Amino acid sequence: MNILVTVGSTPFPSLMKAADALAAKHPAFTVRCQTAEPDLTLVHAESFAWTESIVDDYQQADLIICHAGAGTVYALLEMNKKIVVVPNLERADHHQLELTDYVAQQGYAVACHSLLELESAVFSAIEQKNTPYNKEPFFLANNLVQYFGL
Amino acid sequence: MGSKPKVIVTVYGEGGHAEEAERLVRALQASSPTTQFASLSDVKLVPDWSVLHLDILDFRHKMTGKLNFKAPLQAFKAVRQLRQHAQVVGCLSTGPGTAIFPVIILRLCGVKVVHVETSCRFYQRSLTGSAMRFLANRFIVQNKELLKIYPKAEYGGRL
Repeated sequence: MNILVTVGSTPFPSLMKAADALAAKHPAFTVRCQTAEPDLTLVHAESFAWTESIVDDYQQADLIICHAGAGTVYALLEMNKKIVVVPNLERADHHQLELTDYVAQQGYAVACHSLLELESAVFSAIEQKNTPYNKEPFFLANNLVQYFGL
Repeated sequence: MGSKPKVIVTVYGEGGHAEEAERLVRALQASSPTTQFASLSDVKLVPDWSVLHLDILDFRHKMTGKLNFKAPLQAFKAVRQLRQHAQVVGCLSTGPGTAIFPVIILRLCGVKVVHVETSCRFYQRSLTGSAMRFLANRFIVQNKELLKIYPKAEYGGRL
């Protein structure tokens, strides 16, 4: 089981610690962490701060544990990946709770509101069959071009 | 003035905001392939669609919430530099608060501004959305749920 942990551009140290603990407890899991922290090294999980080819990592992972950033979550849903969404409450604002709750309510992903429950969330995600992501694509592009007089 | 290229300037911050700006530009390029785009951002990576990429500063630190009082001056410098090189015919903002000062300055310069609120909001106003609903000429939401708290917004589907 290849597990990718990704946090986008904002560090999320407690998630990294929990992911490292997960890797220690389950040697059958290969855990790779995109940390957004160049100086952070993990003991049991592989880590890297940033990559320009994160989509390749998404494709290779069987399961992804991610922060609830819109760019990450929607990209993964569009790829029909199994994901565990963890809101980053170490930020100054707690807006990631909204997207976390939304994807869980829609059945698109498993939400993990407490890192103490990360392990059970991972097993839930492995077993759960997600609702396929469906969106109404942006339809105002022509309208905006005309609005700007182009 | 006539020799300057016409551009739409896109104002955005890191992470999902940059991704949404990218998707928004791609959507407009599909409708109008010859349109040129410039960019104002605190993201250092220059997008391949941008003919001119200028640095701005986030006015609030993501982790600490600490305000950066250099942000307004940097926004002013960036907009001035942009207008020296291009005729700005419109502005697209995808937030976050990074976009507020550039948008104020662009509006004062008579530029039409369209703000697309982040798709990670469903039930509560963001600080950026609270400001942009007054600052922008058009305020577009990607989630229908937001129409309850922004009654004058337009729903545009999701990027």
